[in-house]
Amino acid sequence: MGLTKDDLLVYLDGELGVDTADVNEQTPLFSSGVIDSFALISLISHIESSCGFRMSPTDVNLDNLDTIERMLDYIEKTVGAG
Amino acid sequence: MITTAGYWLLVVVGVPVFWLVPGKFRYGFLAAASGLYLVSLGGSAVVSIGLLLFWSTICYATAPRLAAGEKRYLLPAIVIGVLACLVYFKYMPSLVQAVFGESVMATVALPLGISFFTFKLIHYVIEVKRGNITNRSAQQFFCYMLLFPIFSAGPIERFDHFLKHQEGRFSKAAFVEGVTRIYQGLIKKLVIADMALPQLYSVLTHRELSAQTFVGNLDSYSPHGAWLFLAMNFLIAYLDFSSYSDIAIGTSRLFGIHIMENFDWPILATSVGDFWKRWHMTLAGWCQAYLYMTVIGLTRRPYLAIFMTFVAMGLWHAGSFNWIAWGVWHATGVAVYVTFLRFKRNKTFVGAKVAALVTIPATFMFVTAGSAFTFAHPEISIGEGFRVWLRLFSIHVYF
Repeated sequence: MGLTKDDLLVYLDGELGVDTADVNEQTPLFSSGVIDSFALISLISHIESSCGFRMSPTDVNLDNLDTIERMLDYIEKTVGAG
Repeated sequence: MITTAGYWLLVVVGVPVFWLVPGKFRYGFLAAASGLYLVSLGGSAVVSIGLLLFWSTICYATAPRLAAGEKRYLLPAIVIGVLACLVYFKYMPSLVQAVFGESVMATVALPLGISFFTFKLIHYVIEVKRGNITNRSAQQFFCYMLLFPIFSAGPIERFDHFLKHQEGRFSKAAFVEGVTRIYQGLIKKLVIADMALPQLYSVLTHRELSAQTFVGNLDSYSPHGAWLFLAMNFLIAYLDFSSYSDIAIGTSRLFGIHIMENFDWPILATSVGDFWKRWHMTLAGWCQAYLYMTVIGLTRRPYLAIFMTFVAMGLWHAGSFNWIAWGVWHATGVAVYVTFLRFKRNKTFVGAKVAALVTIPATFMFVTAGSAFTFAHPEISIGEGFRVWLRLFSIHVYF
């Protein structure tokens, strides 16, 4: 199980109400205010349910979650390690 | 520190020597010069340097093991140890005094810059553990920890930023930029904050801009008089604090180092959320990265994370109920603002420029009201802070 860039864009657009027209893989999402804390938590839950793992509290940081690229890297690393 | 002759002597002598020293020894020289200058201040600065060298050595020595993921307890042990030191020096004296009255403990002086270097150390070990800091140069690390312009009042520089923003050779443009920034900071502090604004207040109100007079004669101030007093105090505090940042950034620039900015016109913020992207940006960024996100990770509760973060920010300033009240006030503002944004989503009611006519003054008033608790800390108690805060809303209370 995993997520792709398109899956994340669809979720951002459909569930979180983000206008994804200008969002690419490197667009900062949380640090630039595109999504707020509530949306971030929804996104974490979505990643966990789609990928079948629970994020460790220490993994919840902007290095892993601020852009789509970082999320995909994190997912790949975590699923690979599991 | 900028009021000591040693600071300016170190700038005048240290800058040319720094650029004359061979490149591979420059940061070692700056670390040593900063350390010697700080020790020369005597008193709490000596304790401070002792503590800093102790913890810096531990953090630096354990960095390879942290990065390799050895000993899972290492990171929490270092973070708890560093924080315990801060708690001991910053909060225990007032706590002991509150419980037992006068005691030897109550006379323990706060080591210079401890709040700042504690946060820098925690940042360093966490980022080493995450693999974001791989540079193991002792010269760079100790220069980062001891760098005298930012030692006692920030900005709270990040080590990765410090490493990436250094110049290898002297440049006239950077020198002019540094001197200009120092000059701007001095004008802001000495002319505008210390002289012009208090004078302006006296001309406007025929009163002295004195916290003691204000609190002692609070009933004689109308609500708008109280607003004006606090607004002027807040403006002066902003100019004062940002001028220290200007001087620190300008001085560092003379050594070819670009330090992170700390203020971005917070008085023009259009919301309390925007305010925290413009005010004490390095503290806000640190708290977001290491406190807010940690609470989110542990609890998945944004409101709890907001309140815990702001209360901790208040306590970082000082261990008192006044600063806790300040933290709760700002947390409430941010929580309401975040809730409003969720309700608002993409809806816009009026144009951004029209909205700014209301939101800029409203944000300024919100922040000014929060300063009622802290504007004269530690001279005023939490009860007096509340009295002042209520006076803004035309409510008289006597404790």
